[in-house]
Amino acid sequence: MPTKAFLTEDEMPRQWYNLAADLPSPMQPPLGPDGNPVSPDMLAPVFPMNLIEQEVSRERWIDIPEGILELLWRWRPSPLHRAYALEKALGTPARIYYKNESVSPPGSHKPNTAVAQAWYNKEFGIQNIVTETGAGQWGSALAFACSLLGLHCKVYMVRISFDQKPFRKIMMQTWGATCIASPSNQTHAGRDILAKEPDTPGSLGIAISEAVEEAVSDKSGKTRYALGSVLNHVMLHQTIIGLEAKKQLQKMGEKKVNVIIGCAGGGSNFAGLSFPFVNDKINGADIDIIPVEPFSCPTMTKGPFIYDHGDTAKMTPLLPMHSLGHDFIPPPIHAGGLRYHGMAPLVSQGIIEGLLTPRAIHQLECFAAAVQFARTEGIICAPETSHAIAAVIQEAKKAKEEGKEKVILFNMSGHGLMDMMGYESYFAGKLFDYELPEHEMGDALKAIENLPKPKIAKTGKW
Amino acid sequence: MEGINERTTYCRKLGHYLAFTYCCREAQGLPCKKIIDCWFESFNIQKYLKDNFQAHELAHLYAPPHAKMTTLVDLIKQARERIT
Repeated sequence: MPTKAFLTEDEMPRQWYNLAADLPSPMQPPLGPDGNPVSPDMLAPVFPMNLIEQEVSRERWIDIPEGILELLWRWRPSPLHRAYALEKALGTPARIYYKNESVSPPGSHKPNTAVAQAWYNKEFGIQNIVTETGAGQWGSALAFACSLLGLHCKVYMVRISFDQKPFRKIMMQTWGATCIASPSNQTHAGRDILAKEPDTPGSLGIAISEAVEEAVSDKSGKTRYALGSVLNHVMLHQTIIGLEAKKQLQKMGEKKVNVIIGCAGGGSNFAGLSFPFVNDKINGADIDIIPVEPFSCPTMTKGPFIYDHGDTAKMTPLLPMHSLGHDFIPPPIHAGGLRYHGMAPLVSQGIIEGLLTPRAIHQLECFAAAVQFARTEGIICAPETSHAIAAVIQEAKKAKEEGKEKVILFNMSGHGLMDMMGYESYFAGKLFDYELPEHEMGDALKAIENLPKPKIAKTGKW
Repeated sequence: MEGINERTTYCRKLGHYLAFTYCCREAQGLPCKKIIDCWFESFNIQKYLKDNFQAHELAHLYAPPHAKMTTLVDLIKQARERIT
């Protein structure tokens, strides 16, 4: 009985899939701070034009250049595993498969886009790529990608992560990148912050400001910025995961998949696995497609969908996004920078349409699932990935209760060997599931009942 | 709310575990924009914030999130203003 399905390099997909071409309700164009649509030239200081073209593309299939394929062959096609041991432990009739993205050199799915972005930058004549990182997953992926192409990579790593996650920093240095604690004294943005708050632990917002400033201020025009999640071209590059998985499921003799699961932070690993199957669903396939998030910070599941404006004059209408309730109407405030935006717009639109069914799971259940996975399949997964595994176990148990032979596919998006602190806390009994009493939650949500609601573009088919 | 400062959670922005104390100063010494989202089910975070911060220090928490593209264009503009 085969436990893994491989593809040869020749069998690897030659095109990425762009969901933006097929969404039943078309994406609204992103808006700039002035409320007008963002035009390609506005992004030119930070991205090469070939990537900007992908960002706004509505072409369904986009060719993967041969040069990128040759770089991806270092670790791709990634294997598709059948999780026999987990199935046996659960006693489920479900057949569980996982795409193992932990086999990449940095240990996650992130290099799928890092390599593509580095290649397009080099094609455009760029010599330096700058980015920001928190724990270092993205920073190490980009450092690896740049090393393959002989590009210089500079990573602004949030100070608290720089201090707490030294091994990722060393990985970046090993691949030849320059890793700087942010805020730094190398940019105006960093120096301004340090002058006000010398002992600041930093933030992702400050690190992004530093990275963007470095790209914008290079008068030679040879420096650009790279982002590892949320944007459309990032989702596009990740679709190689799902496209490979489709071919591999066929090799395993599967004609139909019932459930697709991925953890969703910024959305890229989930999108990478699921979007090719979303295409099938749009065309009539009966598939449950589940992005999973932590119960402790739910943005897709608990947040009522509110529409708001970028400033009090309401001159800057924004794309509607999921948000949680607050207990008073926002006071006057003008739009500025340094705002984190959680979920990829393509994933958000998929949820609105009903093509995706998000789920939130408590952290103790996630760690229990991760440990069960490690003790059956052997792989110690990243904390984010544990959310997907917990949902897989829920679905496998449901299949057992229903007596159905479902096919479940999930994305093993990364290993957790650099992120063992969470496991340590779990085994030491230091992690808890907190939950606000229902009546207090109700009060918080009631307070936003009368806020303006978005005009939702939805076909109502799903 | 005893022991709140020692509580940890997985930070979705940074990708690792952090203590609540970081959440309270992430935004240049002020609370992280996502502090309510991340802690509202754990304890009465809104009461905590009201008890420990001035209203103007919390205003940014209630500003709507921006699309990433909007943020990037804004950051490019800010960077240009800083370097000229």
